[in-house]
Amino acid sequence: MKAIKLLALLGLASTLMASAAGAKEWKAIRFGMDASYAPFESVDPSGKIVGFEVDYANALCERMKVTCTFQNQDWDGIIPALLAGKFDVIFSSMNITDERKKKVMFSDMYYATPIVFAGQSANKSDDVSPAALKGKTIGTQSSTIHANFLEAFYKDSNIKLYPTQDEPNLDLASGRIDYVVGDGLVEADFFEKKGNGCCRVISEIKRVPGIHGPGVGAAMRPEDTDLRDMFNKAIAEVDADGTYKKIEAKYFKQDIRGKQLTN
Amino acid sequence: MNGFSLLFGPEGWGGLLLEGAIVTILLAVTTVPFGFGSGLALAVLKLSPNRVVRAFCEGFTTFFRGIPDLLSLFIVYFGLQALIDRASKLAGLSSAIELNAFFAGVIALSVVVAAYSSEVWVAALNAVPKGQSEAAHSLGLDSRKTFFLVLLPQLIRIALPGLGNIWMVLLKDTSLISTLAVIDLLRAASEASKNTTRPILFYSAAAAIYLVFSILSGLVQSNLERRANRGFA
Repeated sequence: MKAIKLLALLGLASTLMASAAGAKEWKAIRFGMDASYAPFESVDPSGKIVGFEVDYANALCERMKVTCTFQNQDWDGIIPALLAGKFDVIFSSMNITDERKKKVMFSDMYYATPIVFAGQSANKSDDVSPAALKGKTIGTQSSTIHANFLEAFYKDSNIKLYPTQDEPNLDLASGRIDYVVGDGLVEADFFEKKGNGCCRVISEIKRVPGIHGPGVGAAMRPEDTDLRDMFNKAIAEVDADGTYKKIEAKYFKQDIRGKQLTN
Repeated sequence: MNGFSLLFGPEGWGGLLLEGAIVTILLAVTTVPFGFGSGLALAVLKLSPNRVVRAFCEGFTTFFRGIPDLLSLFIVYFGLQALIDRASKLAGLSSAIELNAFFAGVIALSVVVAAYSSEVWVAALNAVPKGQSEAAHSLGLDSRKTFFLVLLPQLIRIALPGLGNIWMVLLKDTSLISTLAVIDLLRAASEASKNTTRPILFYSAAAAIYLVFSILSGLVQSNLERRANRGFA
């Protein structure tokens, strides 16, 4: 008897909820980020997430007139967490690729930075062709376009994958691996602040269309089309009134909006 | 910046480490009643005359003692969330009920602690002479009073060393929740070391804090054992 009453109550509650679930009014948006990617996102000593993407997201939220909160989520589980509803958008330097588009929906691209090879300072060779790197150990973060790139073109090298981008950088600094592939600005930031002269950026990798994609975008659940439209509108607005350039200048000496550096 | 200011200075990470330490203790302490309580219930069921009940309990214990605790945590975190989502969809609720990572940690650790402690409780239940409950019954005590006033104090006396051991393991198992992006002591140390590239400094600090907790636990345990053993030769 009690079970039937409970089911009836749930049924009543569900009809009430279903009627309210028509068009979702976005008042608060939860952002998911893997905060181990300075200068884009990292954790400061008080435990808060800070970085370029945090400032940029706050600017977007101001335009969208919503309150924003930021959650730290490890990179390997970030898409499952989004799909499970732990947050509403992934705003974590996630490159737009066809493979990811099968699971999530992206906003417009909001930055594209050069992708680089990095190596030890003592290594004077600038040759990073697959033949030259045969048998060498190259490290990068797992589940990234960099990992896909290495697995496609550097089959004769030892590819080591790590949970975050910090770890291959630390291993490069300590000499455990020979090369690292990663985002040019992340690598430069690491070597400048924590490298102690150990390592250098060697050269830029030309973006392979099928593997690297056009740049990074905000990832959302496929059904949240209204959220995506809100984001695209805000991205265009932040571009147009110069706020993007202001935030960018705080962190970077170069423009990352969508132009690829040629040197 | 030298090590001292990195830890204790205003720009230092000491505050985050302390917050992590509090989460660690909170997680362990929250797990104790659920874990040890379920373990006792499981032990009582294991001594049931019903063969199916016994088989189920043995299977449960074997499973959760047989897989790594990290795997148990993932199974609870992702599996329970999926179950909750399925149930909410069936009930027609449009917004998902979210399983907080901390509570997933409590549930997962309670399940593991229940499996391990049930063996300790079974040994204790078998060690208390049957004459005790018979005598209590002949004195007119109902089964609730018998359990809490007569059996439990004797059970605890026998089970305490084993349970104390499981508590020590639990205290360290809380670090597994760092994989779910919860800022516990280990995660705080790892964030600090990544941001400052001073891993030895922060991991040593974390180790020191864990040791303080363990030493305090040891003192409390010997105190409890002394109290439980009063009146025995």
